[in-house]
Amino acid sequence: MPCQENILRFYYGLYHKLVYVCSSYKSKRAMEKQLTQKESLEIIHAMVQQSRQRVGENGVFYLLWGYAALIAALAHYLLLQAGIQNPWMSWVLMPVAGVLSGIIGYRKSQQATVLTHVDTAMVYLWGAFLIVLITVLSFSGQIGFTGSYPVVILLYGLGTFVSGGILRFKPLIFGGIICWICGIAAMFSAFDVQLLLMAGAILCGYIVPGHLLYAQRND
Amino acid sequence: MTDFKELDPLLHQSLRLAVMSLLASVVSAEFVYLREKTGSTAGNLSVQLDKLQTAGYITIVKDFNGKKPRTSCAITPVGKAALATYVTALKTYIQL
Repeated sequence: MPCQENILRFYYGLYHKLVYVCSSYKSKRAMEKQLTQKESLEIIHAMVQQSRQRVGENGVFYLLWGYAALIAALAHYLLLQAGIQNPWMSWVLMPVAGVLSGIIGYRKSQQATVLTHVDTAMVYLWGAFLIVLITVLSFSGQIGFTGSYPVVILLYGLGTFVSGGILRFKPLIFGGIICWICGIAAMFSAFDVQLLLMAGAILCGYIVPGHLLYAQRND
Repeated sequence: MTDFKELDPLLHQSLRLAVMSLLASVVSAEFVYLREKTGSTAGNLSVQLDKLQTAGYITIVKDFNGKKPRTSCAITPVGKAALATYVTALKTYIQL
């Protein structure tokens, strides 16, 4: 019968409307549900944990600078021993590493969806490091190469020690201390030995911690 | 008797509190990051961010990263103070 069918259809529609109204009311109530104080603290705690940065991402910079500086220092030593003119030319590798790390850093910053306090602290630290390094190397004529290389090694130590503190990564802190020991030893050494001490400082302060840090990047 | 302080109603909501807690721990964060970390929907997050901005708790900057539109959020000193007050008020309810 068409009339009965219409009535049935009406009640069926009404039932669905009621179900819809009830469910939307329930979800609205759930959304408006007051947080308990415990839940509030849990949210704060969870979000602070979420914002903790993956430090392993920084490993690539230590490796890039570390290997460039290690090769440059050892090449300087070998060229010096071979009696080749201007053995310090091996250090041209550093601006190349600088440009490369600049490109990697720029790409990373473009891809990053968050800027943390750790990122900002690292930019200031390595910016200051670079300014002092360039200043010492530019005026090394004034203090002499033998006097400036130990300062550079001490500076390497400062960079790794502080960044280790910022990233809370102990191998960098220990690496920084080893750099300082090498720097002090370099003050009492001949120039060629200073180059070897510099290579050792880079190995302990940058390359080993850099590899350990890099291995953590996907954790 | 313990003096119970009133909780800021703007912060006493799960998503807004989550956003404020995240922003308090970083310099700035993009919309995508906040959505990912809070697990919220884009629509709901957008509404809550607007409310926080209106209250002066956060700043929202819209620009372009190449051709892609980007929305960056950062907590303001007012927002930081409000969150600190909120946490202090919470402590009066829960003995930590």
